[in-house]
Amino acid sequence: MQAFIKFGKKLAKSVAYIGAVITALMMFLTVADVLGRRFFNAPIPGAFELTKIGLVMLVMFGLAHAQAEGENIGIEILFDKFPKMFKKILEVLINIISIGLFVVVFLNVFKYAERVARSNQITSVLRIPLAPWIYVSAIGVGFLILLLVFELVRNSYNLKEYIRMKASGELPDAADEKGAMPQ
Amino acid sequence: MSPELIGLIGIIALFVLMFLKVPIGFSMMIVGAVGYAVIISPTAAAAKLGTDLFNNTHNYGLTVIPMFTLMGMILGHTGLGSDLFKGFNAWLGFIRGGLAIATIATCAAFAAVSGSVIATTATIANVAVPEMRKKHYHDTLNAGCVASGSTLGILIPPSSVLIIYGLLTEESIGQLLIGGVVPGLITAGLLALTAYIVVRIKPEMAPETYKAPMKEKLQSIKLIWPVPVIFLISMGGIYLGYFTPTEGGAIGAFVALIVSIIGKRFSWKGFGDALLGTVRIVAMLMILLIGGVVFGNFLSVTKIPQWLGTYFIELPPFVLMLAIFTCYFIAGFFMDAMAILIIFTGLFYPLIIQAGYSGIWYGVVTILMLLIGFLTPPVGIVAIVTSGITKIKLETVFKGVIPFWIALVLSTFLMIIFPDIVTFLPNLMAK
Repeated sequence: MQAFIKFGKKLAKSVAYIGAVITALMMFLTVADVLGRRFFNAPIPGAFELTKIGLVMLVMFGLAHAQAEGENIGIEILFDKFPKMFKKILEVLINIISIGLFVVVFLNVFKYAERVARSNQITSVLRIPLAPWIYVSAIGVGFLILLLVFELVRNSYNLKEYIRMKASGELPDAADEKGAMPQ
Repeated sequence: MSPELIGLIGIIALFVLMFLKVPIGFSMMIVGAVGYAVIISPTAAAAKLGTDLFNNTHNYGLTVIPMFTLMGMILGHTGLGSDLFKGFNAWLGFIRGGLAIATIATCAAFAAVSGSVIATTATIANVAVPEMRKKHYHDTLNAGCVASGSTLGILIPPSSVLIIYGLLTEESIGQLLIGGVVPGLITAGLLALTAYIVVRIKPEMAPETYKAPMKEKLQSIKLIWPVPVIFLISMGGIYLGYFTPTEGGAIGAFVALIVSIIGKRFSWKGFGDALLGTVRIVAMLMILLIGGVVFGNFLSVTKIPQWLGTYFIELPPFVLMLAIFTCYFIAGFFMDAMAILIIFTGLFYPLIIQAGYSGIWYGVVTILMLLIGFLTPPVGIVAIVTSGITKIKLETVFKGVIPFWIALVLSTFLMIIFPDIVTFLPNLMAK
């Protein structure tokens, strides 16, 4: 199970590296544009458009990594007070709801990309077609769904183990409060 | 069922999901989409989810976030926090409680190149607390200074939260960032004054002083110079209209990179980590922001903001602000700052504009109200992070924060009573 989770995190991180390279390129492009405009009267044509597309890429390729590193936080104040079993069940349910949400998002981003592709929308200066970037956004959401599925498998496994240990009496009752369950 | 009632049920559902630990951005998307589906139609709600994700990310205004985040990340990896602290300590150490004041000054300076409270806390807590302990400062004071000083991270520009406020309300991001400068300096001053007063009342909190020789003071300038330079170039350029906030951020990040190379602190690993950290944070913020947009779409079709408007608009302005402050104050006890920002901005911003207030001013006041929440038990995230990093007990941190918390409340009321403190710089800029 550990290796499985590690693989999921690694995959998300590898995808995020694409976003990291794009971030660096956005910075250099913007600086070059400003310097060109102010000092040489030669701005980079379409720099704004490229920066906007860059942002889309960096966000979409970062979605899974942010989730893997626990950046998408929830409020824990009440959750911490719940019994251990309830917490484990809730974690699985949250995974299922999140997957449901992003599957709907994924399908609709895809549909949107098809609409944009049909109407041949392009950017105004460089005349770059917009549809491919929307497809890429859908792929980014796809990676997030994949990571959520990994998390679902892990949390279901944890729940199953917890139930098994509890049933076989391996888990003392006190563990319910102190969270002695191995992750 | 009337849209208002559906809206109310939606708001309750949002709280239920959030308190069941469903990530905040996800909760807002779920409730927003379902609510929109109920009031308008499921097809429209689903299609909107698809377009909202791309169209809100494919937005030039937002590109400012990765640039300023990167700037802070690069500098965070160069050991700037420690340099700043040494520098300020050399100049302020002779005062009783000087290290405490130096800590707050370090936070303020770091905040000028970082837009995140957590990054500021993590950096400064590691640097300042061990030094303060060496001089036998009391942990209550140490924790209070670090936790309260770190909140300046989102008040003094660049500020990720001010930028998000700007995107939610379509206020000028440049003006918002500049609007944070004077309130940030005043708040930093009030926090420093608080540290001084605390030490005057309880001298045992800070038993030792340190008088640095002139040579050390001069040398310290070598450590501090990147901050004013980077701040003046990026914010100065935005203020003077030389470039957009995004360009200011990119140039700031670029100069930070050059500074790290000149200072022989550049490493490919550090740069890679800074880039990856930026991607992670921006993706997280975007999920929140898109959640906010989806939830906002829902709120606007429920007509709740208009409904609130008809009731609240009758209130005298000061009472209205007091009512809003109370809402932030109560929410601060149990909710995450970003969630409060997104939900409350959608509810209250239209009211504020209707009442004739400046949106820029309200943005800065909102930040101040959020800062207070950062330090309020039980979920005061900055207090929790401070405790986590320094291993000072959470109760001690909360206790240490109290006098500084009062200073933050005072500062907020100052900005509410004298709005010109916030608006005069951005107004000059507009001309």
